[in-house]
Amino acid sequence: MVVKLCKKIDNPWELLQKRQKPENVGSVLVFTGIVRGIGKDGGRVLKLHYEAHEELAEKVLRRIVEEAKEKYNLADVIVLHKVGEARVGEIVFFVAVLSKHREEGYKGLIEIVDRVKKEAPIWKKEYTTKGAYWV
Amino acid sequence: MRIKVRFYGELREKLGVSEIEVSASESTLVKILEELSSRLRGFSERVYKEGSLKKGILISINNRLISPQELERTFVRKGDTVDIMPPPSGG
Repeated sequence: MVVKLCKKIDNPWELLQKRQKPENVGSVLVFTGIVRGIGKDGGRVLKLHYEAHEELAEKVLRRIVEEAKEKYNLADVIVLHKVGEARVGEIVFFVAVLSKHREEGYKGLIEIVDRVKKEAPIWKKEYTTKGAYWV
Repeated sequence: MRIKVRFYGELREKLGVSEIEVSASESTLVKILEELSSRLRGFSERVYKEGSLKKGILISINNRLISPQELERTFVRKGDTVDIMPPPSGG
């Protein structure tokens, strides 16, 4: 399991490639969240700023992943989340789920992504051509 | 005794403070929240009012999350750090 808050999510594919795949793994599912070019206010996004309570966020992410691994019998999970400034198109959230079959992988991936968004103490502020606001 | 309280994200901006010290004798978390309500403008409409925590607000003591159900029976002690956070919006 890899759980990390990063200033830059550089090449998550390489990290995924290098992870050892247990013999029983037959499914690798990935969610990649990137910065959208149009903001909530309809303006063009200039940047996002991610703030986190880092110590607590890593603890929460770890708990979410451990619970999903147990619940769906996942073989391995990678969760990377951005902190700091992000530009349009940049990867800000990366989740990879390795499992024996795709069914439990799909469920585990959805649950991890949804729970991280709802439970981890991470916040983003959007700066657009029309203004700046916390999302 | 003194308790350190820190605020994050939008809450820090709206309340206009990132960190504040609260003096209290052996106290429950609820008493700390009530004191903050009287000291900080906007606190009661954004965080805690009349015994209830606003939806989605996170509170931790020394990096341990406290559930809304635990508020009444959670004590804070000398040197504790209480973090008050807005609803998550990561991803």
